[in-house]
Amino acid sequence: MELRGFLTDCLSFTYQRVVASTKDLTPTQLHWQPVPTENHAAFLAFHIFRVYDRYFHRFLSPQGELWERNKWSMFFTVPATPPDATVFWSTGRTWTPQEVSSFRAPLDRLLAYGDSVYQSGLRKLATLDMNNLERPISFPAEQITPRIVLHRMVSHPMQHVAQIEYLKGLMKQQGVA
Amino acid sequence: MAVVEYVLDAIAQNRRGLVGMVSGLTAEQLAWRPGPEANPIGFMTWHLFRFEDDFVHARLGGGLPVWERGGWSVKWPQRPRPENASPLWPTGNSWTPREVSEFRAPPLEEVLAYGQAERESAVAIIKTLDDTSLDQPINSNNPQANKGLVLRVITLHELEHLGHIEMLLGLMKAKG
Repeated sequence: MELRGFLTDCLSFTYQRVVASTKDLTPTQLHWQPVPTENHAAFLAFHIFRVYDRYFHRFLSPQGELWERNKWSMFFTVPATPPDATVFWSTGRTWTPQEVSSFRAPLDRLLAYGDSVYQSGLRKLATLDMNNLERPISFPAEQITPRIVLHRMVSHPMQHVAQIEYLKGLMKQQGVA
Repeated sequence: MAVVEYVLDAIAQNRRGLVGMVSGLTAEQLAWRPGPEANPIGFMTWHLFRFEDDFVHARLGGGLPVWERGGWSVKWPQRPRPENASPLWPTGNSWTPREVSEFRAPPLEEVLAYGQAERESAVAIIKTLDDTSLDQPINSNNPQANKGLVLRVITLHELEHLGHIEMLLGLMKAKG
């Protein structure tokens, strides 16, 4: 087994978990928060997919994120970009609790965006030069290499999908339908 | 980069994240649950170490787990395994909410010391692998269950519970 195959397995496993954990949620469940400062499932799935998009289409290839190229933002109620927003903001990172609460996503569009990013990401991974993982990636906010991206590509979604599943457990206990 | 090198990097990062999250938590915080069926942080931390210990030693051929070899099972005995329970049950896997509530939690420093010991042993075993050995099945009845799958489980399992612990810390903070 080579690293590319190992990473493809990890990516497939985590992506399928995101889909499985969200695909049957009602709009109420999708946007339920146990406390006002916690993220809801729709935001967490959106954030996972946005970060995938950035990793695959900005960091690992130069073509640009699907979010912008295919105008996915038209399908979601995304809060207005603050004047002091950093380059991370459009992925959901550093959103305030109020911004998270106001975010709304139709499930079918959310999963369609995720599928689009995932399928394209698999193709990027299939052709990635595994012998050149230490090269610096041009990004204004932090020093990053393909090696770092390949670690985060696995760790980031797994932690957040576990949070979606934890939310589902809490919703079940509290009878949120 | 070889898979083993990647996995060793990844699990080291995971462990630093975990220790950073739980260090300094009080016994009350470690035992806190947002609902009667939710797992508390102290239980999850212990379970992470127990799971990795048993899983790596049983699947990758490292002999007895550190929990038994190092005398931890005598020092911090847990409830006996029920009849028909899975082999991973002693690690906290598939425990009922009642079983979790009756978990006999060792002090955090003991749990972390055990975690360090089991991790050192797991790393020594993983270092004996190379990419060509990862396709070797660990179960003759299931060719897809190979050593590579064991490494994937080890990498992702800790991340999963890190996500849970991060959420519990947020809930605790919100509830004061």
